[in-house]
Amino acid sequence: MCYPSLIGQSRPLLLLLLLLLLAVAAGTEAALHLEAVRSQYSEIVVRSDGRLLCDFGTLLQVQGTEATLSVHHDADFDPLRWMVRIVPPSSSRGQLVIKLLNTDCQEEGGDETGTQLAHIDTDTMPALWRRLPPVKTTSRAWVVTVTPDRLTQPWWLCADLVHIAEVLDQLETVSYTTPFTSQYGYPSQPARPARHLVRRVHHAVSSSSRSQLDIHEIRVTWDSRVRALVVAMLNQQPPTPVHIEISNINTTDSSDQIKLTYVDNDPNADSNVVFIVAVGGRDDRLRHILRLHRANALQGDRFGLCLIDYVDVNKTPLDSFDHFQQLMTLVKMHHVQITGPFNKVDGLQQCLQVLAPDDIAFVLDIDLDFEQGLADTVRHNVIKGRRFFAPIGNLSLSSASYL
Amino acid sequence: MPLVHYDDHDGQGQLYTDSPMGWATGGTGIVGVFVSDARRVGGYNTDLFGNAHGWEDSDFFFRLRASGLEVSRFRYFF
Repeated sequence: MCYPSLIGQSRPLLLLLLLLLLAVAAGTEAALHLEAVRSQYSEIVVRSDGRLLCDFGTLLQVQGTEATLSVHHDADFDPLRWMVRIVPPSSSRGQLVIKLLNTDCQEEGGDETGTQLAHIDTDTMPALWRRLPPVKTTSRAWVVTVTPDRLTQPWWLCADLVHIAEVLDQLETVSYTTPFTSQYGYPSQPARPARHLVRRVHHAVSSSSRSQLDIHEIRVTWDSRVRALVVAMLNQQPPTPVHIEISNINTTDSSDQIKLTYVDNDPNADSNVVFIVAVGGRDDRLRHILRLHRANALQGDRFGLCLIDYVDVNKTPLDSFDHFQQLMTLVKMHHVQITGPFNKVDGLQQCLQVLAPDDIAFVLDIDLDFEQGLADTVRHNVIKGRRFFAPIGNLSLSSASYL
Repeated sequence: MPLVHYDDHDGQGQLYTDSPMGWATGGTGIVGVFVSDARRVGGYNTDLFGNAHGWEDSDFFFRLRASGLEVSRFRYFF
């Protein structure tokens, strides 16, 4: 037998074995790194335009109270539009520093460590390198949207942010879509709030379960105690049809109980509520929505409508729908026409521009069902110059199959 | 009490499998605000979000909050 020949024949096998060993070694290192991260933070997600940018397990480096995010970038990466959500453990103290580094710029004049900020000019850079407010034990999350080219002062420095984060963490949390699977491509589809709430509670109850943390999917095995706690949290209903003031929500570290204060007032009994609905190629839903509005108007609801009509997208002219003409006689109708592709933001903004300053705009979704009395609910929950209204729907977990 | 909920299905009647809870649960997109308040914070950011879907509602929500407005939220159930 010729050994050189055998080695030559086995060379692909040896190469494969070598690659396998390297992969195992890399995987081990990543796993160890991941554990180090988890020991510091509960959850870190970096995203841009709905795309996952960083698997925190491999890209985030934690040293003391500093976290460094090494963000790979490509031609599609816009560093001005990414979001970082960091959930530190409640016992964290000190400062948290976020540094954006680009590891793909080594050949383009990077610094000695081979890294530099990517696509960020010198005016923008200081904003990204600011220190966040100290971690407070009463807060559980920071939500940071970096849009430094649009803002003179990063708004995450606002004191309100911590408060918002508290509330988001309690009631809705931030929605991630990694990847987002809606065929309509709603990166902001808030499909995850209950999921994240569930995850947070799960972590609070069982810290050892962090090993199951997966930023793509939540795969948790529930015990009866966790399930009962989640259901109890989500089943808190207002005893009367009044609003909940978020400013009065307090949390406790032990049980995550939410304390709600209900205030009953109605300062806008005569205010004009205008529902804003963007209609883009959804004939069935539009027909349904028009029917609901018509029924509500006939039952005495007082409201207006601002329909955003994407004329190049909608197959059916708006005024040919059954209830459209009748609705025109029942409510004050604003018909905003947008040409070109579906652009929800433009439509919403145009509606805001055609309404009167004293009107109350209520942005509906084409997929949102509602019942009679919604206009009064909106009136009941806004105060000019003081309060706006953002209801959360369908948070009942009773029929959630993944539980 | 009016009942507000989201449809679990899209226009084709298909369930969004990524979200057993319904794809539009609990976000910042459904918002009621005085038009004057909305304009005071600049309304929706068409420059930043004009060509993309998503996050314009969160951005708007946060700017309303950052402007000092409080927010009233409550959860509706089926």
